[in-house]
Amino acid sequence: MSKQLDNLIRQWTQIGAGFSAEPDGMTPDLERLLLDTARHAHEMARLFIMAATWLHRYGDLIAKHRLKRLIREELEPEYRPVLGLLLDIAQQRTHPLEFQSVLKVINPATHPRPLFSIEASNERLARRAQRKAGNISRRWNLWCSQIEFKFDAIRPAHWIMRRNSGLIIRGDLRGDLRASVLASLRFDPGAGTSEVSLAEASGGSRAQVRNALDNLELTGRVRRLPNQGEKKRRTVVELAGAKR
Amino acid sequence: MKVVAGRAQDLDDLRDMRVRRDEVGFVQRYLDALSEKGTNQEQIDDAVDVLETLELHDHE
Repeated sequence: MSKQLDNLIRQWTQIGAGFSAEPDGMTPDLERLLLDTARHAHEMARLFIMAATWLHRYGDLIAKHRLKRLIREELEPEYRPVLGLLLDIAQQRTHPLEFQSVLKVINPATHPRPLFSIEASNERLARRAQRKAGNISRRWNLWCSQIEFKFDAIRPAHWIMRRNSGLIIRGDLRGDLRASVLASLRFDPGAGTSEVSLAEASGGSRAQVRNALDNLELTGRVRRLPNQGEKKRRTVVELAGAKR
Repeated sequence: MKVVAGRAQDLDDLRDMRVRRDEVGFVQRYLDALSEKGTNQEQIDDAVDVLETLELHDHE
């Protein structure tokens, strides 16, 4: 297993996916974890299945605005359809569809092909993958047979939250823009240097982010501080409890 | 069993197991027996597809 794939598995284990690996020890940046999963899922079918199962059960924890921004700015175009397929499979039987807003920014693969390398590596297996492909995978031009969720291989919520207390607030906010703002402040360097930077990093408009900040400040989750050290006055935003 | 199941994760596992020629022979005989017992022929043919595409290893 490659080092990158190994690292990815450890991060998924940290948030409750049942791989036989040691947890990473730190709560991962969930949205970037999804990007990395899209990049490596073709190497390991089980990773794709576990990720789909986890997302089906805990999709509320994903900051959707930020995920859209990261897809547009950081995910290489060839991996976007893989993420699209993953999210589309994960949102089946969720009401409302959990990732529909994210899927609007992703297009299917240009040329139909097997999703997994093991099937793409052999013409006969590729034909077999095409023959057995499920409807959703055909829609994304990435052939794979219908995925069965592995709920028995995913840890319960209390296990996940006990080891990743930073995810509790995400659960409360159910992935709305406030979750994206908090995730950007935590994981995107420089995001809090101004409201404009924060809007760019979190994927919201400036007005939306200001509105989100009003609420987050009201509930004591962020602090807005005037930065008067420069000619042009701007507002610095930081997570409440962060050291200055 | 992985040859018969034939899901992508099974194919990954089969690759990692580095299947030997003699093991393929064993599975082939098992598939023949399944066929005689009346297992769906389409399922058998599918398993044969998988079996015949395996990269074989002589030694471990």
